[in-house]
Amino acid sequence: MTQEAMKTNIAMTQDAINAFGALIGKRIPWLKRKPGTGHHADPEAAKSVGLRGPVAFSLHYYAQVSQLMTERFGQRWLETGKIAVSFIKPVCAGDALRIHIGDRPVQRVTEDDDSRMSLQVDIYNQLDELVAAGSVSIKT
Amino acid sequence: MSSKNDTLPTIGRTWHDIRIGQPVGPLTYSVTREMVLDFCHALPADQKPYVDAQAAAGMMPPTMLCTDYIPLLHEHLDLGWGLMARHSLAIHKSVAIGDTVTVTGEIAEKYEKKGRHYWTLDYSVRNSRGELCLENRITCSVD
Repeated sequence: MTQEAMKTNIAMTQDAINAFGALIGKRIPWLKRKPGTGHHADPEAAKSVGLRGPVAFSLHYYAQVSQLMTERFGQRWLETGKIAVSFIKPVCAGDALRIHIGDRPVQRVTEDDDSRMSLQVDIYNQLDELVAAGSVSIKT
Repeated sequence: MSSKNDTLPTIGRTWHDIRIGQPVGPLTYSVTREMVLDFCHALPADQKPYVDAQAAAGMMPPTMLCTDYIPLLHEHLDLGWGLMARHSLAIHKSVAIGDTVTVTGEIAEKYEKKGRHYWTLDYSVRNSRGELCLENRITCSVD
């Protein structure tokens, strides 16, 4: 069984990080952060904890994986999808990411008596370093 | 090691204070169209048409509530500057815009590895009918 690979690119700018970071504060006001502060927004704060620069939210580019699967598989993803990703290297402001789903052959797996199709997820930065990897699957 | 510029209020609860099996939550709130559109707009431009289509169809993007681990843990653990190690999500039902969801969780693991302290939280989203919609598992370091 073959599936055409899904791919997308993300420019992880500081504005993009700020936009995602503002979501939780807008949804839950008592968790709102002061703009420009913390290791997601302040370069000095980020460097003080050993990061190259302000760090992106992992769930930001994780969300792109889900959106690619929604685009390809629609309701089947929205009702049976599973995703599991390990985050290997921090992504920082200024990084450019490439998300690849399905670069390797489709895997057939059985979970809880359900037959599922599993695809590899690989996320690379502009240095071609693997920053996150895992899998997605849907019920077949 | 904590960032000098942590801006979330600290509560004095550390990794040493949390225990396996500890429940967190519940959070209960309505999934509004505004929340969904805000989430859509925070995604890169080439994804927006597909995400906007979901919003138009009245469905919440399934990863929108993955960040709920933050308010769930808020009274139990100072998250510090820790980095996310892993996240998994199982989708059982789509969440409709306008529905009221309840999010609950439980500390599943805590461990040390290579000098860092990690925690794992299982957290689930149920709709207003009590149906399980989303199951999350997240592992983060605190240092």
